[in-house]
Amino acid sequence: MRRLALVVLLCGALAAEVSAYTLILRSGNRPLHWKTSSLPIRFLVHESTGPGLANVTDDSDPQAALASALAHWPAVSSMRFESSTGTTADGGRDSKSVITFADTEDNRDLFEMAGEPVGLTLFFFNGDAEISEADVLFNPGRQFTTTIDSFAELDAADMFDVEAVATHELGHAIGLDHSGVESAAMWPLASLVPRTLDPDDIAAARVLYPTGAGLGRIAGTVRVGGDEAFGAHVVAVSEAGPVISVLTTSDGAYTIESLAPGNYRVYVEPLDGPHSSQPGDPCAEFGNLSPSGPWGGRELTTDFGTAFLAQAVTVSAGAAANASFALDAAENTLNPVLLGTATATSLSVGAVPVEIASGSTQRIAVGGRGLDEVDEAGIRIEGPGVSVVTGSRQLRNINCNGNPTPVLVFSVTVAADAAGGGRSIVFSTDKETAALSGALRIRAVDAPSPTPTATEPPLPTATRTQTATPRATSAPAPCVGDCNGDGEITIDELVRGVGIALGSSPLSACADFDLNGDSAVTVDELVRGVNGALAGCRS
Amino acid sequence: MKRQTKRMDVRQALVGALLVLLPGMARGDAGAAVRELAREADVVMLGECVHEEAQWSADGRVIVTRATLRAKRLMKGTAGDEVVVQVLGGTVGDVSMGASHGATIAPGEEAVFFLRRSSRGSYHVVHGGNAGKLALEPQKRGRVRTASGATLSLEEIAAAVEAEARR
Repeated sequence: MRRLALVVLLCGALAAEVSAYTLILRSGNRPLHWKTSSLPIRFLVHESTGPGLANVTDDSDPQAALASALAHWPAVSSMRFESSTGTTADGGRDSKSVITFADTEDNRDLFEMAGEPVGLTLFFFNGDAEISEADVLFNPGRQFTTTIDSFAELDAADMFDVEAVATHELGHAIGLDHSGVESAAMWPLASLVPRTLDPDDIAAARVLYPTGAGLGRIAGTVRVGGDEAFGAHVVAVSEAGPVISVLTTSDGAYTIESLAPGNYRVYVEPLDGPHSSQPGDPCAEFGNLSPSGPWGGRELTTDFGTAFLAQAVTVSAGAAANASFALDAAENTLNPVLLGTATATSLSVGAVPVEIASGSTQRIAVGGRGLDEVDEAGIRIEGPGVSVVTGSRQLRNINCNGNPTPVLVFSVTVAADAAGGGRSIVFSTDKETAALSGALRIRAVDAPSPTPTATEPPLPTATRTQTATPRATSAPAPCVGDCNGDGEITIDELVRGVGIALGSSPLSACADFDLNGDSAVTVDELVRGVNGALAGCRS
Repeated sequence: MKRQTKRMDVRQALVGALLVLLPGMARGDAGAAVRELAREADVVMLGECVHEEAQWSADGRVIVTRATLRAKRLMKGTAGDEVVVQVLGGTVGDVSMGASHGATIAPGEEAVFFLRRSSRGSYHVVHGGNAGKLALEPQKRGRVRTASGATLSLEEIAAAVEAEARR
């Protein structure tokens, strides 16, 4: 059921104007927006919101989660929200902006027509692209919670986080579209996990609702084979590492606004599906390429390889820096489309970015066409403080509909002082380059937790080459069955443990299985080893 | 003998655990988007939007667009020559309504549509929003682009739909 829900969410999420940080453009490329004179947006939260909602778990506090979500966008822009309790249960035009979980026939009707997404925002606007009303609806057919903090747990529980969904939908309510940056709250699947905003989201909000002077922009064109590239994904990487992106319009032009002064590496990539996976089904072909708006129903330019400008682009306050690309048309043979994490024996690929806390290490899995040609030197993380652990690269395969698909597994370590925000993983061979933009979401551990219910991230998978600072408050658990001490438990090591337990091998074959020191290997110790192999050595 | 049985239990338990938890590594035919969509769609067809009209809903609260699709090739289900599909959003007079999620269909658009019969009225909805609409790309000689960027021919789409129907 969860898988189905994810499919539906994905379908629904991808249905709208997917792109980079994107404004909802109407005729004349005018972005939807709220006039300053119409602010604050006064949301009426339906009176049923609270304990007892059928589609929210009993231990949840949806009102507190909504309050947190309502604080995010005003905190980074000049947008302002007010909220109070109201009696309107249904979405629809009535000059009132509502937030509702209510299970009514009208709301179910709306979700059916929208393809059953998890959340839905309706917005009414005039010919000048001025929004006059926005209604945020939670699907009455889904289950929501405020007490589960990780994607894995949400996935297992078949639930969605109230604050994350609300933050995403409120982004739509203020005029934002989906983003091609995976770490962004406006990533089509972001409503599954992040409760906070990414630099890509913040830049988008500030385009519509500026916070003051002092920002600059990068503008230019992308041409492929001499023609204007339409829908090319242009990404600016800040000196600290986080990424902000936009799409080119039909004339090949783009502008990335609201950039802090400084130097940026800029690259362009085809919007050909950053990844096409969903949890539990790594072969399903879903991605981020289903845009509408000005990009809707039209063939995007994707016949070119990812290209970086050779020189960093310097952005100054109040000025536009030029960064244009003239590329040859080319067929892509390198295309990372699966993203997730790995243990020694399993892969877990999902359609959400991988979050890593600063000061920790994580095994990453990325699969897709041509990745078997990428050696370790060909994998890099854009920006400082995040790097690939030397010697950690492995190549595995999964069978997708009869076609073997290479999966690169490698460890990424994040410095304790690494800046928070999305990071791109870049893969290169001697012929091609490809990127997963914002595939890693770095969470600075000294940053405030997104909600009072947030917990510390899981301990990193240890590796021999790990350089991350150990977490002072978390003593490492014994790594039962890690015979060679490399921080991972392999099938071979498990077999050794079984041999000792069965009496066919001496304890010296792998004394690490003998957790309690009784010179024997018990079933409990084997189970610990299996768990370590499957979920990570220190889990 | 009893000890041997216990040893086998241990072995079986371990093998079982590994088999349960290894599929992420050795997963087989996991089902691509087309099969996933086809599984839950009532109608799968290549269609062309020959007419569409935005209108207020009966209660006057939302704007919906009713698109008439001319069926050019039916791959699953039953449908007449034309199928009416209703999606959220549109413009009526000087008022426009948009929706954060949901399919959009443009006049003249030709695509493979995965449709479900609405439980609310005499129309269909696009299953899964825009992902349930695989647009034909003329420059790629009639191939269809999936959401991941891969392109498939109509024959490949039809084969996947039929394969799903046989499961």
